[in-house]
Amino acid sequence: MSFAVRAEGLTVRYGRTTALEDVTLELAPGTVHGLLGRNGSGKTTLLQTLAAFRRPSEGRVLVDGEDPWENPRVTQGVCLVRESGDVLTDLRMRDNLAYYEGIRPHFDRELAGRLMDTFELDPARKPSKLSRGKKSAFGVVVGLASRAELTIFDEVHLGMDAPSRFAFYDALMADYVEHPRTIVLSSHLIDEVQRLLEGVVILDHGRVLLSEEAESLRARGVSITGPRDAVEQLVEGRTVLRRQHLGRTTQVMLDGALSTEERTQAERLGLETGPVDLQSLFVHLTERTTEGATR
Amino acid sequence: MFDGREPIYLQIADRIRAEVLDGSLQEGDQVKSTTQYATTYRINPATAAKAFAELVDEGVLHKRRGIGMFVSDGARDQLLAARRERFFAEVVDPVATEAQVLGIPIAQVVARLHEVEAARAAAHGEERS
Amino acid sequence: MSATATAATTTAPVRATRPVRHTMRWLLRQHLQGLLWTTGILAVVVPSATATVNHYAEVDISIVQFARQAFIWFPFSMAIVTTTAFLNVHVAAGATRRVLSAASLLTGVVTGLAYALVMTGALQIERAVYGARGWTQQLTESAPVFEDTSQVGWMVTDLGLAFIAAQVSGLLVGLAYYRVGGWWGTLALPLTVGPLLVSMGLLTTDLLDPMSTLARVPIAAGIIALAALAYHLLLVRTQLKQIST
Repeated sequence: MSFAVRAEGLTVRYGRTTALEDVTLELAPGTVHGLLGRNGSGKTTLLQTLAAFRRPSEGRVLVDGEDPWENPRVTQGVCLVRESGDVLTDLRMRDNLAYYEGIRPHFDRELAGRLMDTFELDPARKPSKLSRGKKSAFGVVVGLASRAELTIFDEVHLGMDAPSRFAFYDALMADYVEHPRTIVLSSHLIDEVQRLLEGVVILDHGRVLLSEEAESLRARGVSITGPRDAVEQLVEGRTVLRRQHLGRTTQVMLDGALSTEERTQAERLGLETGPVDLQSLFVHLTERTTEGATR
Repeated sequence: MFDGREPIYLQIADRIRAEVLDGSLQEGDQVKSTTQYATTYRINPATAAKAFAELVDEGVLHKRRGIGMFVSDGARDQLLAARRERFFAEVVDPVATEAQVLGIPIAQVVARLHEVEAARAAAHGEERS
Repeated sequence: MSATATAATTTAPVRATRPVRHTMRWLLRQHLQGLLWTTGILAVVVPSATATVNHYAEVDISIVQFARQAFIWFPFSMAIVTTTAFLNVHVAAGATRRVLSAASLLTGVVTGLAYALVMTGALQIERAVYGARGWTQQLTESAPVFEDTSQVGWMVTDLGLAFIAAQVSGLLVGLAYYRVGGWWGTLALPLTVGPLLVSMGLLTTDLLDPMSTLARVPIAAGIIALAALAYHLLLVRTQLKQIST
């Protein structure tokens, strides 16, 4: 009931632009994964390749062990919801749902009805008449009610207002615990979605920057605050993501947790240590590679 | 809830420990399931499961197959003992350090602690009468 | 995860889906509306045109035959739109391009034949009316495949091939615009509309007089089949575009 995902040396080019380069990646089945990355990092391209919207230029993707391209068994179990919404804009939403229902083997009409109510969508209306937020909400309805073995939401919630987004997160978790399946959420709103995630993949410039468990990622960064000399002494030789000075106080953000020795040393030096949230870690990890690339 | 920057599973584990300590979770009580955590707090069920695993390792919780997670016998005493052990290192020692930085004599700190206790005892007495 | 894994057993049973039939039903629904409209218009325009001609002159020519062009170009334009409108939704709903190819080509055949039957029926009604009134139902368009409206079989064959060619060409035009956009899609028109123009020419010209009817019909059918094959091969290789709304 859940599809595993594997990419091996996946490269996708659009003309001369390389959107993904030699991406090798594994997503465990039955878990909620977050796909993070800045604009143009290749998130959408990766997701579209998984859903057989596109074909790799090189390398391959395997969904449930098989190439999804023109593979009816796999594609009927993969549902990618894009923000643009892949719907028949001039048919009523009721008809759109019926169209999806005819192809999706696990489609739950009752759930679709409940979600239409939650998001205050009138089934008799046409998608072309909806606001951006309501269009996204309809995408969410389609995505959740399809109950596909691999369900992907690509930035769908961007156009939705905060109450609708939280209604989406609630509906997602409620349905996921009852019908566990592989879910991929791509998002900029890291703060909002991070608690929903079990795995996190960060793409940067078409490559995998990291692929880790969300919880270990939250423990990965360390911030150290104190007198400049003491701080510098402690972090010598370590990967510093960010360095800020305020008078004689310095705060650095380190990539990687402190060892027990380092922790004792920090205490001895009277330094304050604290965790780094996922959002800041993401910002500084991707910022660093941008600087590296432009230098 | 669970908005801190610490890993969420640590926050969940801390919260359950706190509830056992303050008595809102009694020994033998069932704790919320991973599913309930997921739907109530919008948390990935695996994260809640990780917190439970840690508490099972500590002996605070135990699993009954097919039913759920329960607070173990002796969990509260065990947590109290562990807390007491850490109390001086984590709470008292920093007070001493801070007092020194601020130039407050330790005797004054001790006097303050006596005052606080006396005030609490008085308030407690009034409540009873 | 153990607490959630046990819930997996509550999953709804898998329904068997028949994607080709399902998609065809939806495509046909779109074309049926068009067919009803054109038939309705035919039913109003032809009798009034006949009455008008009869008022001023003697009726010595079939009026229904002029519907041929309308019955080619209107469904042709509808065929252009359907591939593009359905492709994204179809793939997003989890079906393969192969299914859409089969469903749209079968829909093209059914639609083409339906238009051919409607027009053949109309010609037969006209024939009966003209016969009763003593008018001549002359065919002015050079249509050597059927020379007389009594040749019902040839009529269905001729009209069917022309209308199916219109459908297949329409699908090709739509797909070309989807894949390569406005400029190249327009430049490709000779290739995409070509099959329709060539089969129309084959069926309605006497320039190729030495070529017998028996030869021209299979050649037209062959051209249509080649166009259909080209459409299929292109469609199953088509990558989806982001459609901004």
